[in-house]
Amino acid sequence: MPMRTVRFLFFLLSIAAGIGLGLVYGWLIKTPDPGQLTPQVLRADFKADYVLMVAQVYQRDQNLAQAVQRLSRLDPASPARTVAQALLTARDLQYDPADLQVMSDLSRALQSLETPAATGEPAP
Amino acid sequence: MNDNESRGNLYLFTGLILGLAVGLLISLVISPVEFVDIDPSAMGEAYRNEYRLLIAQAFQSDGNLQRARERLALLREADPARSLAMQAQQLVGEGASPADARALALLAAALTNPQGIAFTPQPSPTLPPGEEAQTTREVGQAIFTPTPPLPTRTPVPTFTPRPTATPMRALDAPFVLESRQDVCDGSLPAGRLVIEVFDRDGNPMAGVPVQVVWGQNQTSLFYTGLAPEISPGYADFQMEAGVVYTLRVGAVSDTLNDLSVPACGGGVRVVFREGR
Repeated sequence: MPMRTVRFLFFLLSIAAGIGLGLVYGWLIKTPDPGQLTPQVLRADFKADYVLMVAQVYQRDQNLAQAVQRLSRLDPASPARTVAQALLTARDLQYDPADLQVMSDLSRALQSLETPAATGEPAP
Repeated sequence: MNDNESRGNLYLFTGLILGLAVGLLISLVISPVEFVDIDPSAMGEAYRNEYRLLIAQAFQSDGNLQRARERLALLREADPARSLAMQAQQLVGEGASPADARALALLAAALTNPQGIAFTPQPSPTLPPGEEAQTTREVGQAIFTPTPPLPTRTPVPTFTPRPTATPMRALDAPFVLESRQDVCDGSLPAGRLVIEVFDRDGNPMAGVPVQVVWGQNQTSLFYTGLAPEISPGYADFQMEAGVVYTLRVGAVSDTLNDLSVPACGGGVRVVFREGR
């Protein structure tokens, strides 16, 4: 085999070895700290139960601000969407109707929070 | 000759650096490791504490001890009651919300002694014959993958049917001092004030606020039930020699004055019973 071809093959091999080293470092050595994992990456069924707990607490204390703050752990963007998704999961999992009702109550409370109050004035 | 050899080695090194750059770009930027679909035990410590508190508060709402147990099991702790009690003590020590500490203490006490707490959850409704309540027995491990998660669903937990919530008994009755005893036989550490609270039926009562005041309006508020391994109705406080303390159990009880370290250097044990 010509020397030039051998050198080219070794060059490719060294690139492959470098890629392998880079992947090992990024995927196996420098992984995210598990201690920083948040409820945001919980499995869907655990998220649904989390939302149910928030709804149960809300049912008892009617503290919507606290409920919103807790739901923001699951999705900082939209607590209402979080509860809606959890409701779908809960229905799929055949949660007890009473639990679904508690979650629905929280969902309604959040929707009323996010819906701008009607002013009665005509739109421009 | 030597120049040719070192140049030959240099091209290998260049290839290695190039490959390394590509590998790092892929593994850290394009497709980094992401944890997805974790179970609650994989969350960070702060979030696990929040989760524990949420379980305790949900238990206050529905009174379903079995459900609380199953939820706590998701945290995979060796002794959930102890974790609850320790978190309650930590909250008290940090001056956080007394209601939160109380919720944790109540659940800790309920786990330790389900019959001995001030409120008794109603049993879960009986399921129709042939149906069994599905409970979470197996939880998924944290999956870390360099690719976005697939929307596959895994077997999911369902919880036992939710029973009717049982309201907690209001702690508005005065607690009556039943006994006060200086303990000088060495069974209590020096200066230890032990408070034990029982309900009308003689059961230990968890979650009863105890306030100790001394000096220039210095005060400490804590709850029975923070040491469920001793008794759900147990609480203690460390007194200092030469300081006089005032104690109040519950919200409307008379205060117990002139508490101090006994002359023998032992501790003091006071027992309160819920009034009628």
